Amino acid sequence: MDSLNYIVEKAGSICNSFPEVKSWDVLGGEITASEVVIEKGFLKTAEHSTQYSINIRLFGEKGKTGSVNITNLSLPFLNSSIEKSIDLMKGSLPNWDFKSLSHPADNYPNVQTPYDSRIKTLSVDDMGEIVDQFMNVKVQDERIISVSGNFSSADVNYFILNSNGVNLQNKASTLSLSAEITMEEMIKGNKENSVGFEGQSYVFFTQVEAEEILGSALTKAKMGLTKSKISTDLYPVILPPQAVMLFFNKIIASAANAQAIYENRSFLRNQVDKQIASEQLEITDNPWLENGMLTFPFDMEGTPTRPQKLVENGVLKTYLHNTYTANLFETVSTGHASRSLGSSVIGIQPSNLLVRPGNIPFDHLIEDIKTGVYLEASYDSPNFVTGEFSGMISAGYLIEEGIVKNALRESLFGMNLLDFYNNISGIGKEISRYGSHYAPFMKIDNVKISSKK
Amino acid sequence: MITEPILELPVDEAYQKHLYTLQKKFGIEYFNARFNVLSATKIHINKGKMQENDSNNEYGFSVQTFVDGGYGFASSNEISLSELDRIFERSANLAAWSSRKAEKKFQMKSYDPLKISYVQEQKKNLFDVSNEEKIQFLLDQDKAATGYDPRIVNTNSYYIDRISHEIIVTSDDRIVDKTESLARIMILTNSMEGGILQEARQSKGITGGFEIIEKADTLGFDAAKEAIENLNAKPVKGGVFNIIADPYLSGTFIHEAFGHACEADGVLAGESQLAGKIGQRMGNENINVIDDPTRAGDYGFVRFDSEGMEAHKVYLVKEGILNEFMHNRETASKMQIEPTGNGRAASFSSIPMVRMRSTSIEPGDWTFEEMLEDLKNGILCESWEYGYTEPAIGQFMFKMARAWEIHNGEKIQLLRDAALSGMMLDVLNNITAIGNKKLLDDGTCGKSGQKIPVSSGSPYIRINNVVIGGL
Repeated sequence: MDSLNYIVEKAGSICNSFPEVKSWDVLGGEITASEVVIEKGFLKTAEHSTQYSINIRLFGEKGKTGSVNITNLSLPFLNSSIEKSIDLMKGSLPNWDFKSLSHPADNYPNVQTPYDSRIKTLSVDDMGEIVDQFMNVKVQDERIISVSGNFSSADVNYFILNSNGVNLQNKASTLSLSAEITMEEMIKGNKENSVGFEGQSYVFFTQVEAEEILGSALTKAKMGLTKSKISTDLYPVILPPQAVMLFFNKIIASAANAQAIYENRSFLRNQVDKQIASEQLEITDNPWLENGMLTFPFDMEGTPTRPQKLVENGVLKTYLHNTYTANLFETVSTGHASRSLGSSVIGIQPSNLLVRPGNIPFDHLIEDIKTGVYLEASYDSPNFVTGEFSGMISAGYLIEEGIVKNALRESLFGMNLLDFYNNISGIGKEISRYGSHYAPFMKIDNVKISSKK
Repeated sequence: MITEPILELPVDEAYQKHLYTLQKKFGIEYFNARFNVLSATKIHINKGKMQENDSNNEYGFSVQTFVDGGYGFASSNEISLSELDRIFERSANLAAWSSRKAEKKFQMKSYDPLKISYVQEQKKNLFDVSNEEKIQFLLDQDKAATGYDPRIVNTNSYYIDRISHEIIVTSDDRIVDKTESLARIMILTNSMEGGILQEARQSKGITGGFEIIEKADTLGFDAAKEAIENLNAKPVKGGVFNIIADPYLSGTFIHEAFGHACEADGVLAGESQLAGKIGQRMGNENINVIDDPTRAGDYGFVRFDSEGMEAHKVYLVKEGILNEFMHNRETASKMQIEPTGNGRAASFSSIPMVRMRSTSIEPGDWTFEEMLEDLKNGILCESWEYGYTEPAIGQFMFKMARAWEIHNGEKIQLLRDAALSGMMLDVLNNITAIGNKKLLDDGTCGKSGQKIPVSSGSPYIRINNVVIGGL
């Protein structure tokens, strides 16, 4: 097997030798990953892998395209794969919207992707310390029937080359830890179950706080044991930071994806420079954030990144572009191209997203709510075309007289997202991080909750 | 047997003998080694324009080892005897380390030696079909959608196929050399009128070859028709209703709400509400739920699983009684019963785990017309966008593609963006009628980051007292 760097460079020079290939790009990557799975408080399995991939995209006349992905890094296989890709390109339909690939920048920002070299050689003893903490949780409460979790690490080294002269290399490291605690208790003659889940991502191994993750999962599991129902009606809702991340950061960034806008698949079409939310809302996309999970000097096409306001004073400021959509909209790429290793699809994704905190302490945000809902999590996603969102409250609690009380079951929420964003009635001052998202608490008025009571 | 050079694997008896030597050297109780090469196609057309025209060739192997209650797993993209040494040793070391922190020791049961080689039937071999022909079929569907009505403003049409050659070698001398293939076509459409936007999706997936086009030749038309109809849909008002669920929604329901809770790994982990309930009544005596991988052509068709075990039909619920769970080698060994061939991995670099194949509710004796008339007032729920369940607490949720308000047994208004939820142990008891004709649907099931092809299905079913979420 030849080295990744050599094969990537070789792929570029082979592509250049075919005159029918008008432009090309190559993404080559190596991932070294480890994972431990914990089940019922004990280690279930440990795994380690090193995976290579090279994805080559070719473009001919009229935007005709063919691409190939290989994991076998041998020169003869590379040659035959590029020849196959050329055949695919020749038989392709045209795409008149394709204009060009990205061009190299004169200057890239002086931003370092945070990287922990220790991740690549993480030892079983390092991971063992985390497993031990999971094994100790069960003794803390006799109602715990299961403690499960997952700890994974990945060291990524990748190269981006294209026919316009982009030739870049970068490294990244990620770790993720999750815990799921199941509890059981007899309450008023009924056996009640509850699950508490918590998860977090990190760049550096020294950031990993298993105790904090387990503690949060345990608290949530305890809170879920006693249950309530709520009548179907409109209620004020408190969103903790992880829910703000879902309802605001992720949804707005996805809906501002310029490809979705172009295809009429987003409720944010024609909304740039228009009020989409309460004036209190400000969301910044910051790829230069120090030690951010998604801090990069350039995107996956090699376009330089820059911090940008996504929403300011409740006004949508920009769509997120890669080179392809920038050409469609006759603008420049915003540096948001995404591409998974091994994939020929260039997508669009935000970098680190920060919701500006307000100045209301959490206690003040909740104190006036007579009956409301603390909506912590939902696994649902909205209808991005209409902006309507009905889903299940996977983790949520009844608020009575300003106090978070019992867990809600079989309860669903329903909303039009633009109404929801305009119904922000308060933003908390405390801020938390979940992966690449930074968000405060929020209070939203008049949210439809449906339940069986 | 493998005629395409791209699917050749350099794995011969020397590899098998070497594996057994390594097993002895590292004192491994059980292992499975999976050598794999696959060739896949992906085509994406957006309103007649080529977006993706991709060929994927993955190659590599993995070794899963087990000793003293602990598992190790390692994988590589290079297939050679020297790399086998390195990966086996890494896997064995991880297994030894895992065993020191494992819950309890158990004996992994061995099974009779087996040597089998097969190529899954393709009526029209994917290698005999040019890429241009695949593109043309998809373009025809894309054009059928865009040409259906000027209010169709966007289409995204996808074609995927995959041929995978895998050699599985296990420590109990089971050698399964299998070549499997699948194909799937999906058409997404968006419609717009007077500032209202709607969408629709149609898909068809099979195990087999390019004969998929026989089942997919109206997908573009159907997706466009549905997207146009949806322009007249109104949002659902939330509340509690008696509903009829169509076969596709019911199939997703039985997969998500019940099937996942019947996966024995979740049962053993204390993460299923069904733990300890074998033999207990789940619903009335007309309810039968199966996971049947034996129908060739179904998207969830499996002959041998990723652990080299035969895939059997499983009766999860028989005449309303919880009958059995789905197993891989580990869960079967722990529960001291026979594995059911549900040990599936998404790729060679993934660990096999207990997964469904083709899960469905067996037919009853109601006609759809009888069911609708008997419902009187309620909601007819059609198809699905996604669904999920929380097996430990038994709560589930589905987003339906669309629905109809039913008044006096008649459809009176098309509804959209509705979600339904419930508690798993209640819902089978609330099924009050089962239709007489079962339909299966294709889908992709995700678990622990692994996505695999599955089928799910059902007849029409009527469920009382269901929470519907709306605006």
